[in-house]
Amino acid sequence: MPRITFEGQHYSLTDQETMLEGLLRQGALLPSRCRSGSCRKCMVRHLGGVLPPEISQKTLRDTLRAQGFFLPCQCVPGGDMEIAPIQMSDCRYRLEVISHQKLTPEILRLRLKPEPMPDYFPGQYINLIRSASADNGEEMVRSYSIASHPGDDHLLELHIQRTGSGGVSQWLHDVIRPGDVLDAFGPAGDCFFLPGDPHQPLLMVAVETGMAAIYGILKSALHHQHKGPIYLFHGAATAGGHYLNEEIRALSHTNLHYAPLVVEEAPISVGLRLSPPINLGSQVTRQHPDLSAMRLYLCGPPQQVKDLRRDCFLAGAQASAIYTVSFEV
Amino acid sequence: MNSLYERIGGEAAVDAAVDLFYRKVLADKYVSRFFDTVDMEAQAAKQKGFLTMAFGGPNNYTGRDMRAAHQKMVEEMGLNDMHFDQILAHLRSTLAELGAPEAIIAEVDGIAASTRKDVMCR
Ligand code: HEM
Repeated sequence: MPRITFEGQHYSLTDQETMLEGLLRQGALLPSRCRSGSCRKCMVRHLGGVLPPEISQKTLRDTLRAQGFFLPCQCVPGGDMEIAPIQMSDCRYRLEVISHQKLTPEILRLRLKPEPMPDYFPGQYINLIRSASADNGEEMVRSYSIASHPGDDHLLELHIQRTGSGGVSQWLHDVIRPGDVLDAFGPAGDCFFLPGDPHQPLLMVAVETGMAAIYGILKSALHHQHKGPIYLFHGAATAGGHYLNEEIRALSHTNLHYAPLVVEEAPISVGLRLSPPINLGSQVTRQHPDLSAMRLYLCGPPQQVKDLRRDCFLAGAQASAIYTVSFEV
Repeated sequence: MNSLYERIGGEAAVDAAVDLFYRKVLADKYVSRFFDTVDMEAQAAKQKGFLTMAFGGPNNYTGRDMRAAHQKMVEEMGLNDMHFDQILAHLRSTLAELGAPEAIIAEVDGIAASTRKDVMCR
């Protein structure tokens, strides 16, 4: 009888039941719905013991499997296992600000020294905390993608776009200085590079500071000596937003094709559009009309990422080959 | 007589239909916003749940689950009967494209249509 450890409690399973059935029968609080491997409501994370059976990870993308995620409704474990909820660990650590560099008036590059260094995949994100104070009332938390690669050095690099006033980004831009110490938790996220077919063409599209995640993912791909072509697009509202031009060009990988694009917002009008809007998605799919063989990484603000993802899917991309991450800015 | 699900071709048929169906609803601006959520692969898995159900296949969904799955769309995104009818049309087109005869299409359509009250949270 396998024994499951979950949130400090132990649960014994009978030989016939799935992990989900056994845990629910014994009163564990685990959300669930379809109990057939579709809805993912019950998804948990493997921490130790026997590995989850393949079928319990069959419908999950590789970056979720790599983090030990699996579906207990599809899992009849072969032995004892320790599992945890999938939510990001809220265990906090400290980061010392090593460098604070304005890449443009609106975009800040932070290099941070964490204590201790968390395990991460470039392209995942961490949450930075601005603690409660007289100025800002409640504690504020913002997610930022990791642009560094563990092979670079022992620092985490983040790109911070200044947004509005009174928020975390403004504080990081205007108040924080080298030598200050920040609190954070994470990393988390499933948009990162895992080596697969080394010759598969990769399509990477960054919008604004979505470039942070893309830059990390790009370095991962190069670190794994990816052989196939890499098509990299960077969409920004102005040419000044292409803030990594030099770094990207310095990577000088023979198969890397870099295209900075200026994207204008479509004017809002109630009249019918007489021609299709020219957006980032249409610019990308015009150059790559068939995406069925590609792996895609799309990073940026939510609406742009949604539109891109839909356009790319409709240009033939496989759902499981599209990796995305987006944040409200 | 075999079940509808077996006659259609079981899980392999659902897998073939999911991709086609999902491309149709995303290409349709009238309903695509409902399907444009967090993770496309996760969304495709849910549509597999939808099609398995519509094909009369094994599933554990109750009326209450159907309400829970669509409640937010009804309450916050304005999901209504016109959207529901549009989805049924995409379902029929998907089946026709995969070569299903009219009688089978009608049967599947009947199962999907019978969930209207729950999906619309009435
Ligand atoms: C025709 C009858 C319908 C049936 C039988 C049906 C069935 C289902 C099922 C079984 C799921 C999976 C729920 C889960 O496992 O979490 C689902 C999810 C979903 N359905 Fe439907 N559905 C129907 C109509 C519609 C309509 C009309 C729309 C919108 C236009 C819609 C949009 C969605 C969306 C967006 C999800 C995913 C929800 C989420 O991400 O949690 N469905 N549906």
